Amino acid sequence: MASPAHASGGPRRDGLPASETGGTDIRAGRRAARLERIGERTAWIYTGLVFGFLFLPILIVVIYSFNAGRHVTELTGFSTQWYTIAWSDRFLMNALRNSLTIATTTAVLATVMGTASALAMDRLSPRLRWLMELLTYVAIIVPGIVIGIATLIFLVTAFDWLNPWLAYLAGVDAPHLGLGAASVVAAHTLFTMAIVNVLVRTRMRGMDRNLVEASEDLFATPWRTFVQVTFPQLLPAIMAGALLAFTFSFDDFIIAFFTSGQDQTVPIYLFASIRRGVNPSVNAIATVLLGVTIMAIVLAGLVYRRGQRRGGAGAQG
Amino acid sequence: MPRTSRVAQNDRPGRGSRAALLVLPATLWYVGFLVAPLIVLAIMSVGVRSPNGGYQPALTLEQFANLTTRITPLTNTLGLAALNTFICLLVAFPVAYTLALKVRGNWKLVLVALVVIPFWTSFLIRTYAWMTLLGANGVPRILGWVGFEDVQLLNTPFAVSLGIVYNYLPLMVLPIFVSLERLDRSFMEASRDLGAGPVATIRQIVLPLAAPGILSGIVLVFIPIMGEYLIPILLGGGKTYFLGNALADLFLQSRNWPFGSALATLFVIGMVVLVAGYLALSRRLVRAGRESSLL
Amino acid sequence: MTNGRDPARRRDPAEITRLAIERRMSRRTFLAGTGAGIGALALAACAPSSGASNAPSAAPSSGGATGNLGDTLNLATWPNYHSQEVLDAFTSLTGVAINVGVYGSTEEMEAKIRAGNSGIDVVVPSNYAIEGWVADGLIEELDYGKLPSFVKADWNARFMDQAFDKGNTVSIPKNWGTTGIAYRSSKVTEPVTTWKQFFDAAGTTYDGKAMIVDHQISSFGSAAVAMGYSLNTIDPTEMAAVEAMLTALKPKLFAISSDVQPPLRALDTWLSIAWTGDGVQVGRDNEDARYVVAEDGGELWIDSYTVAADAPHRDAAYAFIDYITQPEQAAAETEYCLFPHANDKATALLIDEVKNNPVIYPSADSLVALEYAVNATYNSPERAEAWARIKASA
Repeated sequence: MASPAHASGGPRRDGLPASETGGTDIRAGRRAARLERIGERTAWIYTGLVFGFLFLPILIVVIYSFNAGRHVTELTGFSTQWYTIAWSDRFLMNALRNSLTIATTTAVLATVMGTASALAMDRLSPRLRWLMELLTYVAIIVPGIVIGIATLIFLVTAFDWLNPWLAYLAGVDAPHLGLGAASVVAAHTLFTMAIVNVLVRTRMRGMDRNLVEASEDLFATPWRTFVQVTFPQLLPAIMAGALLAFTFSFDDFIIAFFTSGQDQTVPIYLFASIRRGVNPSVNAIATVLLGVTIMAIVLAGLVYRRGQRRGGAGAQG
Repeated sequence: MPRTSRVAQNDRPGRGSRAALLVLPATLWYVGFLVAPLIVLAIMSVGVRSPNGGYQPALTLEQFANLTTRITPLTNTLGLAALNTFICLLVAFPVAYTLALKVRGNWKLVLVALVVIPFWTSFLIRTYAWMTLLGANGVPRILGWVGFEDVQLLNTPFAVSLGIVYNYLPLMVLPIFVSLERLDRSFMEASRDLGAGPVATIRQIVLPLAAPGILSGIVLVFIPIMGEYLIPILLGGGKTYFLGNALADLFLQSRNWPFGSALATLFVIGMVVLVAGYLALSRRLVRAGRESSLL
Repeated sequence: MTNGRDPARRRDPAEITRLAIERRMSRRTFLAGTGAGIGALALAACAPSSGASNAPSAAPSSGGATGNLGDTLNLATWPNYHSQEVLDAFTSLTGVAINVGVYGSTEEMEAKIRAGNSGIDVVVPSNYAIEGWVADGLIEELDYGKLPSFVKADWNARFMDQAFDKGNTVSIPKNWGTTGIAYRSSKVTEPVTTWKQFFDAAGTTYDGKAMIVDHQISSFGSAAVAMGYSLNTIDPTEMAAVEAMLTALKPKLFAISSDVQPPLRALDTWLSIAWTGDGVQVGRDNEDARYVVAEDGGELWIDSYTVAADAPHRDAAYAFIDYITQPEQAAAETEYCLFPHANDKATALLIDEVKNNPVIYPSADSLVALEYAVNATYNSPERAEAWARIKASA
């Protein structure tokens, strides 16, 4: 945060001796430097305010998760009762289990399919590539609520067709297709796969193609080229995509609301709670999630830094 | 790129089919869970509501004709989405600037992580916290102590805007940060040495380089806001009505599936046109801007 | 509550009422706390062992189904409507776990059921939807052979054999209730007793402090009553007048939302349309909360148990309905959700504080002006559109 290296009053660039222009230059230079410091200070105060704004509700949530009282009107002493209550709430735990399963499955599917399609897209014929880009693009743009409703209607129509056939083919023990966690995964994967695709392709554009070509020229099989050259370079984008996919799926309400059938997810449970007057145990859940997240980020940061210190070559600063 | 190696690549057998194989799962997924559902919606949109609610096959454009009754949600949504995207941009830019250019080393990562962490608590819970803050027991109570009695903050367009800006701010900060991070500081120093004041520096150096990030940020924020459903309900009390709410109510309350499908179809088409137009226009502007600047 | 067994400690009536309505309070503790003293304790101790309040006692019959009941039952119902203890007792008796799906409105339940393949077994809709569901084959005719515990005479004739389901062929009532006016008397100093008063005051005296529920039947209907029309009106001129009134009122409301409890509690809103149970629940924690049935009319409703036509666990569904409609279980549920019940024998089993509570069980006179919403109104596209237009207005 040091002020710029060039101080006022140093040797002039135009070669004229300093004394020729007198003191006005120095004053102008100092004024500029002072303005610059004020500007920087303002920028920092402003940034601090924004961070405060971002964390204010979080703080409220954490504080109330330890509140002994039930309603927000009473701040009555410290208590961890909401944590125990949350953990023994069978519906909440069930929803949590569903959400984790759905989010993990979505992240895996989205990452695999998104990366695969990103890798392949540049090698398709221009027309096919245009089509894939269009589909990816539309998948990102269509609002979640439309996806939720449309998927619901489509799936139940499809099930109405398929279930009688399954019953006919497999008899009484035929699987009965219905809405549930799987339909949520399907809809979530659609959107997140497109995001992964975009992230990976952006990264690919900035990638050093020479390395790939060198590898191919050296007769490495495509698989080896991928594993040893392409994949490590794409890894940050892939991981970012996987993370985003997981977060999006875990936090999504509107799509799950329409497609989850009888399976509850955490946001669905939360929405129902909020409507009725929140049971403070949801604050406990949020705080735990927050804690887990922070730990994960810290861990990731430490691993990243150790990787940097060790590896060094090729890693970004 | 030397031509020989590219020719060598093209000659490799099985390349085309391998690409097709890699792309196949994604394609099937798009067809099954994007194209097919949208087609079903389109088919329903020309149908009629069956007497007890639901869909009845028919071929009519009356649903689209009725869409004019939903002009207000459309203008609400468009207006607030545009406004709040702009506000997000204004609020986020200085933060991204400071983080990218005024912070060194490890602190950079930490601060960026801090921007993202609120994103990692549940959206619903964050919004609920705002309901508490803006309700009668929150900020209005504090305002009452200093003399501003009876201020209503909850269930106003202000509350909805606040909720939106709050929830989407990180999405705007991150892309701008990423673009600005690549900025070579020597450019800025050179600009200063050449006598340009801070404002001119920002306008001619920083902004053009940040442009791709700003573009991404705008797209990343505007699109989800258009589809917002929860914030108008929780922070708007049902009084600020978005297209998403109109859509949900048509399916859940009115049980008028054809009308809802028509609204959804137009919504999708509108979004695609809007965003495509925006991207084309802004790319052209950015390219023109870059060409005319020193860089 | 820990010294509830100390007869020497006198409790004030309000606290007793509050405690009595606390979900986990057993009858023995309650009697001890009323100051009835040692005698009461002795009485309670002498009572038959099942005297611990309305703990579920009778086992559910498997309703003639010799087969396995399965291990899950999917229930589509309203928030805070079922006592978890009763549901758990059913599970321990039959091995069937109950998956409770909570919906804010009958319309939402219908959206899921109508879409099909919802997996729902037992649905608890309001009366006005039932005719349409029958017409579209969404629910099935009840097989009373599988409901051996059902005794028609136990039920309040007022709520059986109604027009929406003559002979109760498809539904058995759960709780009934009214749509009334809930308010905080510390802020609403003059009592509001009619819908006309409510809607007049909402836009003027209580500007920004009144709310209506996001429910076409209850809100639009109550507004219609305020203007002198029938709750169920689908006459175009009348509907246009109501729509105009509500559209003008909307900017002055605090909210259009069915979640009235949080704002009423926080005093974000002082005056609201509400359903019986909401009024009672807010009153439980707030001395000044009132719930009144409007004098100029309003909605009377019944929620009933029905079985979905494509229920995947039909036998479990019948076992459950058979169990939950028995008087003991019905009483336990009522003591939990605080909505009145349609089974007279269950009502007789209630603790006095619930049975004699005039909000939960209003006098017959106050119900005279009320009417049931009808299916035609529920399904009227024009009425639904009018309501949607009000919500979509500026």
